[in-house]
Amino acid sequence: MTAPSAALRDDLIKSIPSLRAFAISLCHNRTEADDLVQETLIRAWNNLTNFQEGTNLKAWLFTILRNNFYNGLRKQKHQNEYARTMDHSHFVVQASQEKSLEFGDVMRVLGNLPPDQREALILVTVENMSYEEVAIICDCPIGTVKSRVNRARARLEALMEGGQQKSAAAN
Amino acid sequence: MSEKERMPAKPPQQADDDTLTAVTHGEVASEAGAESGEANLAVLGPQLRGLYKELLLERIPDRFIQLLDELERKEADKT
Repeated sequence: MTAPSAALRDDLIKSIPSLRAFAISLCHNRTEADDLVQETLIRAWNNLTNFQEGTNLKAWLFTILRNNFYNGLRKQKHQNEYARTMDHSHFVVQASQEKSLEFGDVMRVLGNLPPDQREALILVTVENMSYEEVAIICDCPIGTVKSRVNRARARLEALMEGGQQKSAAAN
Repeated sequence: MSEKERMPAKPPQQADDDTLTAVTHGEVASEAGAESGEANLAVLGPQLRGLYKELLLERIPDRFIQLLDELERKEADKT
């Protein structure tokens, strides 16, 4: 294999923040997320011959990251436990004081979503990807992506409303 | 004017998501839902993007740059 071009290397580096954000959406915590990004970069590097330069590098990288993540989960056989116990409290530290409450709330309810809905929602909203790109990354029909995003949105809104009512009642 | 007419150069697989979905997967019924979903994402989308912004703006940790340097070095050694 020949070494990747400087442009491709730059694009790999530019993709890292998005990869980290996506990894954090999937993982328990930031350390695990960064390990996942590292594995993804190594795997991508070793398979660069399979990547057609000029096509969607980010989508390709996300696919690798996602596969790595779910393969790891399958090995650990704790998919259900993972879905229940996902903890997003680390996000609060990242947010500014003013936003932290809102941020923590959203991340907590985001953690309540099934992983397939959460990833679809994050890719569409945060990464601004088209339903078609997400369908390729998640290896499912476009219609499935749409319905996952819709269910995620509905659930997120319901959970957030529920949370607001709860905190209003507490006050 | 429709989206399609304005952008005739758009590749066919991206030209019309909904039509494609309906044809390929027969999910015509979900179309209206998807549209209202997109409308609602206009609110939720920016909110989530705002929340992720700081994360996306964080400095790339050195470990990743070092990793790429190392991979590149190994590659150079091989050839």
